[in-house]
Amino acid sequence: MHSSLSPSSVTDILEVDDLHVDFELPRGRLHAVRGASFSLGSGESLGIVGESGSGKSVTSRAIMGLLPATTARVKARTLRYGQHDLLDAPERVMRRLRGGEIAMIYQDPMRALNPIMRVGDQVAEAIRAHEPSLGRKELSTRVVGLLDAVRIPDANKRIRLYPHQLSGGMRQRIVIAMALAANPSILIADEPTTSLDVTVQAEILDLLGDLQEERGMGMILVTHDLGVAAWHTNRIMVMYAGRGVEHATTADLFEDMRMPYTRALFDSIPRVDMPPGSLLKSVEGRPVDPSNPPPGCAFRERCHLAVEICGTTAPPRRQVGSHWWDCWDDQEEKSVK
Amino acid sequence: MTISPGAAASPPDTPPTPLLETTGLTQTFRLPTGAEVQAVSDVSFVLHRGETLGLVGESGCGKSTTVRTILQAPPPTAGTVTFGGIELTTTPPRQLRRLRRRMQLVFQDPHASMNPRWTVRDCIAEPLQVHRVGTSSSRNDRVHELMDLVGLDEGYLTSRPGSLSGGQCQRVAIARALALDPDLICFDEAVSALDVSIQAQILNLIARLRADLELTSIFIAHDLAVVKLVSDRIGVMYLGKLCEIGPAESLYRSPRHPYTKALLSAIPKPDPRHPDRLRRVNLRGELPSPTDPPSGCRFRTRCDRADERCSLDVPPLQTISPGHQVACHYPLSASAPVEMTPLPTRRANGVVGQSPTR
Repeated sequence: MHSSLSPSSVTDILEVDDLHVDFELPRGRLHAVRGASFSLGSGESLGIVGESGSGKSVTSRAIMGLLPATTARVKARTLRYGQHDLLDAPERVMRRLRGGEIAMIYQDPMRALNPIMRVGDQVAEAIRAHEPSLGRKELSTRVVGLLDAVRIPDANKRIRLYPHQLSGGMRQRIVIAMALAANPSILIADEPTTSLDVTVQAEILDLLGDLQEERGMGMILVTHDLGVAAWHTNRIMVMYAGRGVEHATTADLFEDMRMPYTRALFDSIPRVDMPPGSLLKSVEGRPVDPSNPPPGCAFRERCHLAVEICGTTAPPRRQVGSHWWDCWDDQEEKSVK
Repeated sequence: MTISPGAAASPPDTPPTPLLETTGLTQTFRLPTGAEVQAVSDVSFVLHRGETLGLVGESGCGKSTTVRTILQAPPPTAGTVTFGGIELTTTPPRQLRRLRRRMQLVFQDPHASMNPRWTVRDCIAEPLQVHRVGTSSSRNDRVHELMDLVGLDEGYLTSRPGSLSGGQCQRVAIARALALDPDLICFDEAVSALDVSIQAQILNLIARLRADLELTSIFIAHDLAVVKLVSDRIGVMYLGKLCEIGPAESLYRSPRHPYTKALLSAIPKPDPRHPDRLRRVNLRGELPSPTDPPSGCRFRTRCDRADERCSLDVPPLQTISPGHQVACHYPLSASAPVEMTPLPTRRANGVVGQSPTR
């Protein structure tokens, strides 16, 4: 089924099938991811959208092998990057893949940077981690080249600065430069613009989109904001309570949202074209408790279409081309209601 | 419901009475290095009863400081604040404390603004207790009434803030702010930390309260779509200066200050098919240091319309149409709204995407 999710012309470099992540916590078991499946072709950009607790960040960390081994239980039918089984790969291999093949950037650039090290040295360190034999001169050329690539003006001067001397947007560019250091084939960006101002957010999203295209990288953009995901992605998967609930090409999704949660999420977003004073179509209630997910459809208590079966049995996956969604509601009958 | 609105709306034929007026509001902070930062610089505006003023701008532009300066916490270094006809900057502390019950604040992180050891009931009743309003039983009734008003189940009365979700906790914060029936409520990024679906619930709550209680408020948020939704008028700030202020609808439809236009064009539209996706206006360079703002117009270093005059003269806030003021020597014309360009397709495989920069 997964080969049909992406255009046949691209080969899937990342395949995730039925991923489950549980955390063993003192207060009990928490089901953070309860069956997420998707794939990513090379040069393709996938948005993973969901609210807090939907499992979107845990999914990306599971791919990177970054979950704490002591508490996290990761299971999947398939979790594959290229020829590598990410579930079984020895730490030695994972260390090479991490940063080398799959790189990740986070929400808060300040936490990803060393506050007492010049940013140029930090970028150099990222390059050297994967190419230890590089000479000094060559290394500094590469650092400046990377800063140019992420459109940092006056790269030659900026490499001498410390993180606190840079603005939030510039810091995030440094982090992106570090992520690109080893020419990864996949870049996972987890809420990369959430802590940034709107004008800077637009610049960083454009930068990520352009870099992804120029370098033919695969990109996974993890965000709570459908508007951000709409910006530079080919496909979008919406997650709710640890599961993918709808997936489609970005254009198809906005054309025709099938899963009621996707629609509810979209309707909840204030849009600039709404007149002042208008009310949002909000959904009542709040996301389910991940330590005790209900049987059936996790969204049913907030869903205006819910019927009895939604509370007992997990909804079937319906599919039209690459567009799939999980819902008991039969779209034909919906128009009658 | 026994809650009386803070003030009745004025009859339509008389000019509405301003609840709040600031003139030349300036707040200067001295840094440990000795440098001075004018966090708020010469801000003047009027807020009428029953009206909501939205304040937008990037972080560090002085939105929050403006609100705190109005509430005299701390008082401004220059300028005046008239609240309900009383000049706050010269009001003695004791009287100011009494006036403060008529002004309330709701913050971004409700968990951080609530005592974790208190119950929801204690949190909401606190302002009533501090200002010695009513008896114990009337306070209790008021707490029930407030919880009903903000849509909180009474089962939460004895819960502690830590066990509430962000959305519920923000409802408690709003109930607490409403407890004393204030004339003015300031929302400082009150919905910014919430998930989208919860944010929508709280925004709808605020909209309902505004209508039912005829609230007068100042609403700060960095999300421009959020601000538009709840505001009658909007002020745009840049580096401590008010660069444009006007009716929400017309300011968004045809911004007159180049900065407003750049800010609006950067909003991600949650729909790739959106017919009026704006052409992005990229700002040149970076935000200058607030300790050393540019001479003349503070925005000039990033503005493509700037010339010598902009570096010499500070543009005053001028009225360009009724209720709409702009501080720019070369304001954009009203007849040419933000350019709308057809959406370019960037993906080869037919997927719609956007390439705003090129």
